[in-house]
Amino acid sequence: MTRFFVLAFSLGLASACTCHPVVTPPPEPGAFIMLFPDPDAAIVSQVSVSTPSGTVQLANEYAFTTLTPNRSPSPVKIMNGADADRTFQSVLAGLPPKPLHFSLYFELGSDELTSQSRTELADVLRTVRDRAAPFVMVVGHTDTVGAPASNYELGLRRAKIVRDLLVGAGLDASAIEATSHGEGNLLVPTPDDTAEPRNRRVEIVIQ
Amino acid sequence: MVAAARLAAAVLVFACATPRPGAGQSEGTGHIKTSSGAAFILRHNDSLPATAGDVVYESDGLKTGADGHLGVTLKDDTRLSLDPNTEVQLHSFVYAPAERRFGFVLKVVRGVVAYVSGRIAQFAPDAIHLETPDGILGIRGTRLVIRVQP
Repeated sequence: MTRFFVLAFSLGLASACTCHPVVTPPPEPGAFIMLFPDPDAAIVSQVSVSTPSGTVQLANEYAFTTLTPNRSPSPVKIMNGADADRTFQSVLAGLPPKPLHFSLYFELGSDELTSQSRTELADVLRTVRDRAAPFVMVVGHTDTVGAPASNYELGLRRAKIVRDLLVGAGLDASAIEATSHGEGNLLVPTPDDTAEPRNRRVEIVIQ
Repeated sequence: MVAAARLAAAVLVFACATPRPGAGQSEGTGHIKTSSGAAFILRHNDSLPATAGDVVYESDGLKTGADGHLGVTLKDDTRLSLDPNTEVQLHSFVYAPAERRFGFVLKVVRGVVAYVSGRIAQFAPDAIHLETPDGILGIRGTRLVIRVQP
């Protein structure tokens, strides 16, 4: 344990001093794995770390284990959060921004946005403009009114309408992917031939 | 018996000839979001300079030199960051939610990598394997750092 605090400390110094971009080599081959807090997490963070001779679970913030060849993972320990954040500041800061998700809704059987979604389109456009090297995925969905094949086409029309709006606003066409799930991926499960406004949507992921 | 075997063979040929569901829908596995210093995409024994916006494909590697940093977002919203002197290899990436098919295998060869899980971790956490030379990580999420000294 002492060894890893010493390692963390020396790494912290190395990253604080940019005039010497020399990474202190760890004393021996192996791996170090640490779980970090994630304010955005929708699920409980947990990692299992396995070698042929054993498994440990990391389930707490700043929990870590080390792997050395032909050994079980070291028992789990917790590092001081401030030390851990400082040690790995550079790699954590290098993570790209969190992707954002939007849904826009459509009138029955139509590729026309609802009036509320026309308003929300401004948020989508602003988000795309604010990103460096944006990539956007647009997936069209329908409710279960009509045949699956025509709903696939309707979903695709909806996705392409949104794609064209984004391209019209200046986004490179190669940075957008428009696809359809038709009625195959209902947000609100319904029987066949059921009009459901919440299912008539495009889901937009902005990365 | 022979007829059954023929039928099985025919079904097999049909199954192989049918395009993979979702194939052609999605080009690539993700994108380079940030790149600085010496930073490369490793593809078919080539080492291509990585630039923000570049497409990353399944089976690509990523590598940084002494002053290199890379930030990558994959299609399921998985995010990766590579510090200098780091190399990772993407062994497989399958994100087809409409067909409920998921898979993600990434090997950290050397260096320091930060990982934030994406939607595959929500839909199919057992489909994710992060590998190091000395052990394998199963991921329920979400944010972690891996450091490998080969």
